[in-house]
Amino acid sequence: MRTVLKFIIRQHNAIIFLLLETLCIFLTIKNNEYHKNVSFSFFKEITGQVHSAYYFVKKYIGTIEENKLLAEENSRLRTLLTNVLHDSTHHIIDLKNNIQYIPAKVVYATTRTANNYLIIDKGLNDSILPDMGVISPNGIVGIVKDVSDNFSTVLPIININAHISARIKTNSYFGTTVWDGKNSQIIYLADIPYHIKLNKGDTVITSGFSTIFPEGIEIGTIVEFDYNEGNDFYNIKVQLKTDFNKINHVYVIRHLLQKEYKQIEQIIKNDKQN
Amino acid sequence: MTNRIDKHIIRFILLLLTQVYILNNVLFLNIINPYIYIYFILLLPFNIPTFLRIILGFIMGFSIDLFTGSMAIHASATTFIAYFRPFILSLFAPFDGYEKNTEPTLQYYNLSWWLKYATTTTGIHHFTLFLMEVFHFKNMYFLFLKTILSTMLTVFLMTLLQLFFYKSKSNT
Repeated sequence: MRTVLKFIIRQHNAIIFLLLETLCIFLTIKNNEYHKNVSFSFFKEITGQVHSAYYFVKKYIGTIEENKLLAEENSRLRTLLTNVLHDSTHHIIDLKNNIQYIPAKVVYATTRTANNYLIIDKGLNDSILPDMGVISPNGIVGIVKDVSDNFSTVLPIININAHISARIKTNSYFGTTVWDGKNSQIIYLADIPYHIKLNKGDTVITSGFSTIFPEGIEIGTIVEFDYNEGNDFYNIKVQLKTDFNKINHVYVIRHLLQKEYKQIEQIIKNDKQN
Repeated sequence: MTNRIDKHIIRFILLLLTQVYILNNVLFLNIINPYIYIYFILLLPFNIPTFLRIILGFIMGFSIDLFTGSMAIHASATTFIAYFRPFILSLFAPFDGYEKNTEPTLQYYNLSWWLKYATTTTGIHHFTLFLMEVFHFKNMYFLFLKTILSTMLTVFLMTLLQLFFYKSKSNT
């Protein structure tokens, strides 16, 4: 404090001078409209710079915070989604087509024998019954064959005994899939009459002629086709969408009106027998 | 002593009135305007206390401001030169310094000294004044031109006053 006082006493002339100059500038700005505008724009320039710097920093810090929040939300949603897809209590239900998708995991699979089969980790307890369709995120897998309480065997499309009704997406002609027991990537589409026009790359989808598969699930794409003389049908080679060597997560298709469908089918059969 | 204070007060009033009612209407070529009221500050005694000189400088400029409505522009410039006057004086001090009992006038010092002293002080004052007027640092060339031309006119008028009041005295 004493040093401050000493300084003031020693420098009193300079302090008077500076005070008077400050007073002059203050009065100038206060009393003249022009000087007020000039100084305001000057200070606005400076404060504007400071403001923009401040907001830049604030925005940057905000971005970090926002990123964190987004990452958290992302992981939360992903968990939710996984729960929906893989939790038996959160089955996806397609009400429009009366279909319930029951997520399941493949626990065993063979791809190199003629009688390939898969085992999935869902069974009777998850209301899985024989003759339900099984699909993967890419396309068709097969049909449930036998069911235990907690597991089911699936007859995949790459089994020589599996025949699934399929049709070509572009022209709606339908046939049946046949596997020759050789390549797990290739199946054949039978019963397509040779007079129709085909293109390589045409998509083969499920026909929807049963309650096993809804219409439009992709089976594969046509890679080759030919026909022998004297034969009325094409010989069509189809590249499968589903890679059975990597198959992991699948969905079992449960048609909610299957019972009704079976009943009406039974009536037709009974009528035929009578 | 009273005589000298009277002299300064009369000079103050006369310069103020001359400046406000006559010289402020000159505005030659739209840029040249003499401001001879600083003659009052130039002629303050050598031994005046610094704080008094600063305050007198402020009052001189502030009075001009009050009369012309250019609030505190002149005051800032006059305060400025009032504070820096000793530094300017020391720049042009004679070999053996300023003698006691002398005044910064042609009565005691020669014309060359007077012109240097008056031109430097006036130039600084005018530059500060015009800078305060425009209040920004753009267009500095025009500011310098205005300062130089106005300084020439002001110094010319102040030298005439000096010659008129002191040269004759020193001759007698």
